[in-house]
Amino acid sequence: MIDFAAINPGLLLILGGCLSALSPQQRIRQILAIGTPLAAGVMLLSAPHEIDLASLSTMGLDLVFYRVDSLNFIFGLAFLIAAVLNGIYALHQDDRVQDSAALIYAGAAVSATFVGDFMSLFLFWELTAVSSVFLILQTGTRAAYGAAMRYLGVQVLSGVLLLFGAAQLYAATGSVALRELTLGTDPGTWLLMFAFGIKAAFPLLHNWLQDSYPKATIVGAVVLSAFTTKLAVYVLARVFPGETLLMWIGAVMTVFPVFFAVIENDLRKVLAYSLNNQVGFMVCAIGIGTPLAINGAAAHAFAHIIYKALLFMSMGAVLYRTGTSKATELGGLYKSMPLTALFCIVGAASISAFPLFSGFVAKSLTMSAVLEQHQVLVWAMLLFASAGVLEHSGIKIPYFAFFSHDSGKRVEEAPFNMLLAMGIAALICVLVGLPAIGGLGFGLLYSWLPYPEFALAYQPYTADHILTQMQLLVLAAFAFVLLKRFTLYPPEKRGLILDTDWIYRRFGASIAGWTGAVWAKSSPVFMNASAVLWTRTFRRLEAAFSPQGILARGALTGSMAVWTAGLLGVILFLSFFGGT
Amino acid sequence: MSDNSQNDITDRTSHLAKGLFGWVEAKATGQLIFWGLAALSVILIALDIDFIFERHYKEEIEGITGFYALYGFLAFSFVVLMGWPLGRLLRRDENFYGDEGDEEGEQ
Repeated sequence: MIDFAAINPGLLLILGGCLSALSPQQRIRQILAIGTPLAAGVMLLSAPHEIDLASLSTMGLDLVFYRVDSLNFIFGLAFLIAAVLNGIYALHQDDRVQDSAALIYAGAAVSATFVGDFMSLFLFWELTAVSSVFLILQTGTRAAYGAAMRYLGVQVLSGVLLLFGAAQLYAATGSVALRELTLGTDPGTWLLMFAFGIKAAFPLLHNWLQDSYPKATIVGAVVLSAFTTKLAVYVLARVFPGETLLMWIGAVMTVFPVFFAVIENDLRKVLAYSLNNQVGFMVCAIGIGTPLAINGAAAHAFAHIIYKALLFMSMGAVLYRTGTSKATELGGLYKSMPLTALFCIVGAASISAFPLFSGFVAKSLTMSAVLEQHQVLVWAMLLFASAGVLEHSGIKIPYFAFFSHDSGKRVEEAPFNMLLAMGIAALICVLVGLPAIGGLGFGLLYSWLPYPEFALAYQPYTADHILTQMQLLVLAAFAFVLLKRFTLYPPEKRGLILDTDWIYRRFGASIAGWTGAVWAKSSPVFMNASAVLWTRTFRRLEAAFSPQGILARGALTGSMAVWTAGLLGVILFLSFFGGT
Repeated sequence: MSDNSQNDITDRTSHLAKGLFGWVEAKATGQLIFWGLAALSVILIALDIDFIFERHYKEEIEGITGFYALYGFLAFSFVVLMGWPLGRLLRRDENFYGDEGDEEGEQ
């Protein structure tokens, strides 16, 4: 008999995705897309915490398939909410591949969140890569195909590193349990860090994200934005909390994408850079590692999953209606898409951490945690990045899409299902951001955090927090209008911004191309030379060792007999005289 | 457009747009936002003066009056102004990697 309470809720989504792939009827797929995450949510909410609900011991490995605790609960919950929103956002399209890929991908991420060992994690880690690539491929362009293949390569590499790291750890310690590790105690820990770092898009390992997400389908980009990087954030919080290296990586990660986001023209790519910057805050908080900081990382992940999805949804709606997401082509869209504009502004206010929105109550935790550890430089970097977030996500996205100069585009408002998904996401952004009123407000979010007792003792809405945050944001916004007024704000230009993907897309490809050309020209010469060399070598060998060869002629046996006879003669001679 | 229901929808949309964002078209709006933000900035810094509001802080530098305001202003300006040299340094043709050929809407 199957015990339903012992089933990892992610598996339900994966099953739903498989059924969806088999179902030619759109209606059935729609029911699966929204119904399975809701059912999985009920399963998760009713699951007892801190118990191995499903486990198996085989071949000396202790596998744990389902275990809920205070750390993974909030990540899983956020993933399931995102999956429901994705399902609603995708209702208008009849695309079997995307419907099933989105569900399987979400299911893999949820499953990975609730497993308790590295082997199971590896399995679902790879499943997220293999299922999500279809969301990029379905765009159908050559550019998307190339990006999808690069994406797959990078993601699978991350999985392979994870497997190697886990195997190395198993050999060293005899355990594959997903547990807290100290970086450097074993070579396997470095492999794991690299595997997680690729998935979380650490600086210099980040570019697969900006390469692929903007080329994904409209729905695909929304789906992709929620899971992969936040799964990596969860695993980092699980395995390397308090690792100082992460604090610095996270701080750098918040700062550098800001500069790329300013000059990028494709607004969906701006959002991809902004995603990088936001994950930096979480990674940095994990590096701090105190209960307050881990709470900050988890709260930020939850808030971020919702508002980043909201922003991607609004830009997706713009792309759906106008056919482009480039700042140079857009502007003045509030006239024809006022609700999309409104929801986009809610998302922008949330990500910029304006008081009353979810970003504020989440980011306050992290900033306070950094200050409590007296990491002034890290704090200054995060504060700088906060002003940067206001620039690229708070102002640039809504301003250039919906206001700015009028592009003259007059389109229809987004389809109802898209508006509904955006509306729900916007509502969540506000509901968990408000001061505590009844059961709502930030208290709701804080009660789901890994250390709820620390979270509920923390007060984000103090006069200090509000005043300092408003100073930062209002003065930064004033800088914007000032720079605009004196035309110092760089105009949006069409173009492609170089990033580290140049290394493999141009430099690496050139090397490969050059090697190929050199080989094509030189290979006949090499082939001839090696043929001659081999023929000669073979002839020599044959001359020496073959039945007709030198060694077989009997010369040696003849001389051997002579030598033996000679030696015997000498010994006889010596013993004859020696004996007397 | 001959379709009546279609007309209704666009009508409703434009009413909604006017209601929500009609104010941005007003001539004075630009000036109002500029001076409004300037005034708000002054108020926020003034509130930070110690004898008006005693702010708690964990680090010395954080406690300086108007520190967050100045930092936000400078950080934002720096990021935006860096857009000029960085754009010149890093911006290439849209088809730099030669794979944009089959996309719609490309010139």
